[in-house]
Amino acid sequence: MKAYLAIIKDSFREAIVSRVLWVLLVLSALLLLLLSPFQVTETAGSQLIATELRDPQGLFQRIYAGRTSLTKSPEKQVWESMEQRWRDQLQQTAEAGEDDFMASAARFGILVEAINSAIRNPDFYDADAFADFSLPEEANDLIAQGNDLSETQIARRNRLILQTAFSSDISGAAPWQITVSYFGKDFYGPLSGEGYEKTEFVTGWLTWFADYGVGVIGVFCAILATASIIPQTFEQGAIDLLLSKPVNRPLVFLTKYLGGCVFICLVATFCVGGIWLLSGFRWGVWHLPFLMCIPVVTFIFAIYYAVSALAGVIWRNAIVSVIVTVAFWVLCYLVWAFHFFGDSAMAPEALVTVSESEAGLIAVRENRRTVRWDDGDWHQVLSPGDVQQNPLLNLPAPLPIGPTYDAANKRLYQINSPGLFSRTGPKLAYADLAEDGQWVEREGLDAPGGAEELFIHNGELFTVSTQGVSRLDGNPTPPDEQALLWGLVNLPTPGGEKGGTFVSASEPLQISQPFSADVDLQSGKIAVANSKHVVVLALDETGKSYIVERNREMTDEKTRLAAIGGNTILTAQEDSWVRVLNVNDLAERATFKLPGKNTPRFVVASPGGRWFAVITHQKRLWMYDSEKDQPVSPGVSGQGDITAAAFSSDDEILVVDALDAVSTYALPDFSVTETRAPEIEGGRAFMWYGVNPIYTIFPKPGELGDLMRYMVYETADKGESEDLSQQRITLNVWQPVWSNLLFMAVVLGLGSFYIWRKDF
Amino acid sequence: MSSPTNGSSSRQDSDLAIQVDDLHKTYRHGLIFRKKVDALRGTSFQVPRGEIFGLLGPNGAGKTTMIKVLLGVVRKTSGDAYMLGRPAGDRLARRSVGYLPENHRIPRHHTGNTALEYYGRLSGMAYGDIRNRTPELLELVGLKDWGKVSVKNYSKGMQQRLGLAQALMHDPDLLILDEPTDGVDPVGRAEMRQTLRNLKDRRRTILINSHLLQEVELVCDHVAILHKGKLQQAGSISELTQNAQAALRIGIMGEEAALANALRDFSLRRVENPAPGQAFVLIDVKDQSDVDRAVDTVRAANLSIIHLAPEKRTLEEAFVQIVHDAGPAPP
Repeated sequence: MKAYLAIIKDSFREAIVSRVLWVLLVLSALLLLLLSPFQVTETAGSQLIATELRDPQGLFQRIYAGRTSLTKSPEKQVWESMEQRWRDQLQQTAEAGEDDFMASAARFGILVEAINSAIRNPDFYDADAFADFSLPEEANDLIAQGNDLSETQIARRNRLILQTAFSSDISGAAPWQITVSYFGKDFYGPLSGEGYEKTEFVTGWLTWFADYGVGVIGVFCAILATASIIPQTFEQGAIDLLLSKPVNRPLVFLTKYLGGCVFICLVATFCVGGIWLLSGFRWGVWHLPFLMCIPVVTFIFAIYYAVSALAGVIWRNAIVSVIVTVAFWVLCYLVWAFHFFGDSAMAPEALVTVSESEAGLIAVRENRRTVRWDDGDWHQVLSPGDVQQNPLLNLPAPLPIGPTYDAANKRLYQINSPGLFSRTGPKLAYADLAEDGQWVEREGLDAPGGAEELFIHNGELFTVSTQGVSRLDGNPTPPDEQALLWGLVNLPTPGGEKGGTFVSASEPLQISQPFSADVDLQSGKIAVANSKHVVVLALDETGKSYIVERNREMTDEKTRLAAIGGNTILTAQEDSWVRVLNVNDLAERATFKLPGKNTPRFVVASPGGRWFAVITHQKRLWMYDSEKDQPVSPGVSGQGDITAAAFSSDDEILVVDALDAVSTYALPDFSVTETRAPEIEGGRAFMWYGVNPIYTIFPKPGELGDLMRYMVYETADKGESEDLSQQRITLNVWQPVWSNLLFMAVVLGLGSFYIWRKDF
Repeated sequence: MSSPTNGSSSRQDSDLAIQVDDLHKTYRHGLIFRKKVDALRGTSFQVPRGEIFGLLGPNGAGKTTMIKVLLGVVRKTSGDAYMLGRPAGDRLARRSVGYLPENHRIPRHHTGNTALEYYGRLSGMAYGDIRNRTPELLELVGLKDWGKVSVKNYSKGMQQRLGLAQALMHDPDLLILDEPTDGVDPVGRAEMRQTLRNLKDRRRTILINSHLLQEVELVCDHVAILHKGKLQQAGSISELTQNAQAALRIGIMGEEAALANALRDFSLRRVENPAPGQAFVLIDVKDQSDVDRAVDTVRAANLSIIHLAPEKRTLEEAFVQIVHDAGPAPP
């Protein structure tokens, strides 16, 4: 033991004498000096940000229309409070009438800036204009102070008033917003909303810096600094002296390696610890988990250093060691890039919902295209709408609602929800099955906003949205009128059919989003669930309208999904708990926790309510048997790759995997009765059989940044949306750790074996 | 020859510091078309404890390979080798061995003191023992005032002395020195020789590998001569330098011609005329009877003998002859 401790001590002595340690410490100190002039100031939230607009088109239309109102109104007040230049630009965009994506994006950005200019206006508040609204206490307090307000307070007051008056269009401002300055000069912000709370913002940037600054540039510098340690130890003359001592050869190699890692760990501690102290003393953010970046950065270095050490032992040349390490770095990046971009190209293609009806096997892809199985492959029948058809854009947007098949009319319906830059609101889209067997797609009328369910019952088309249940009255074609706003012109439909409309089919419900809805097609009952309520709606005597049958308040305030069948409602929550309720009294009769770290994405029920299935973001299937009142272990293959599931009857479940194959399993024995799988070819085959296996076993030092974020934020989810059905990227932070550890063990093992056998 | 030489015993002998029996070592170079080099071809010898033993041979004879096999720096191909009663390369044996390699390289970031501390710790010494021993050793090797100086400022000779110091640090039972006086000045060499003798007096065994045969002759008890991977001869210095090809130097008052004529039946090596009226010859003699016959022959010629002495052959001469007699190496 003394000998090996002496070797480690010698590594430090060498680093100190050779000034490598001092150089790295000085560089770290310079870095801290460079960061210290930054200041992050947190003030009360006021400015509007793009993602706080729920319905930008609707908001603009109201404001634009209200500008000419003769009486005072919030819309008119907002318009008049905007700076002239923004009013002019909005006017221009409204009159432009161009039908292209870039114009939509520009209008959206101008709207945000225009509203922010109104928020900053001290004359924004007018008691008459906002008389009909009950303002929050904070706003009233600020109003009571009259003109004796700072700019920040004025903006805060105006923001509170604005979001009260336009609550359906603008979500609430975050309590705080932050501004970043450098040497006292503002250069970034104000920023508010999710992710811009000061601690989170500072920690986020520092973690990014630790990942890319320290984890990439710092590690590269460390590799250069330590490249000569192993070669010098094993060069002729020095190694003879060393091996004449009573030491074990592989242990000498490993101890030298460990000495290098310990040395870099100390430097990383100085650097990351210094940043943490700076963050605390300078910005008041003391986030202890940030220090977890130290072991992660050290681990990243240790992986590359293992390669450097092996090269150093074989070639005994520091330059060769560096070259080999850089080559390995490049190779890791290439493997990652192939996998990442290939996956990104293929992921939107994954089938995420499936159903089987008289129309055949219908599914919806992640990229919101609706497809139908025919002749051994999937063919598109419905598209997601105009903006999203741009293949270069893979913008986040909700999945279509539906589809649902009207067997009487041989028509497939779905509701396309607008994306971030969509010019239009939600639309009913449908496709008719023509005589020749082809599906003809048509755009239908406007659909109620915030729809979450679409179904046909007793020949009627119903939708469940934030306003409650609506029913299609008439044809699904748009009304025969022209719309002048935005330059959109609707032409009369072929055959001169009169357009229909969605009419209310229930009392106004005002369901807050996000919510989930499901219908039991046998009973016609609807289950609606959000974080505050679970509601059961039943058809009235007319069979065309719904009444609230039961309402249960949920005190846990968890976002949940719901499925209904028979006498059972199954809800799956964001915290992975599953609750089983009785339809007739909404009493809870069982609770279960999804195994592992599984977050539900979809829940489905069999037609008769015997079976329920939960498909998770982790692509696993969990099932519940309501007859036995307990979970069932699904005997299906491909757990971890399951993207969708549905029950075609109470005896069969359809399970979809990442390769678009649909397997039909008989219940309850899970025997496979049918498999419909397209041929894997081209890029997909290359990914599945080539890139993915290599990626699985290859080390992934570059992905340890995700581990860093996981340890700092204690969550592995990226881009989490409140809406559970929206795609989430759940990182497997531990898989790179194991593959990297295995790689290190192999490399160090090879080095040890080489040393053990080598004649020096 | 009375000393242990071509011992063929395969048993470990506890009285032996080193025991080598039919040792082979073949190096293989290259990745695909591997070239073989037979560095040791069945060498056997023994080194008793408490001796200073010289290992001689021309370049490429296998001396350094032999040492490296004993220390475990290089693996043997076949045969047996023992060091202090334990198999060659054994870590426990290495605890009691001090090694000074040829062209050794002490890392440049060390000073004299830290280098001794480092190698002392590698040998398993405690810090206290190292602290006590370091000044004494530095003084012993003539580096008393250089302990705090960086090794990169040492001359070649000073590095050699420091190398010797690290080999002695843990008071080893066996000291293996490969070209120990390389770069050392004559005074230093003399000091080193005295140090070695002192160690021998303390029953330490020393194995020296050197090309400086004069140095070997001055300090070694026994030597072994390796050539082309095989042991050619081994024995004490006197055994190697005295053999049937001894010479007799006779000096007379008189003329060279008379002396040469008188000794015409003998094989004359050299005739010298160091001063007027004096003549010296060097003749080959096999044994004492030849010496008597030579004296009688000179006296019978009425020549007055002023000098009579056997001419001793140097180790270098013996070495060169042995190597020459061994012939070229097999392919």
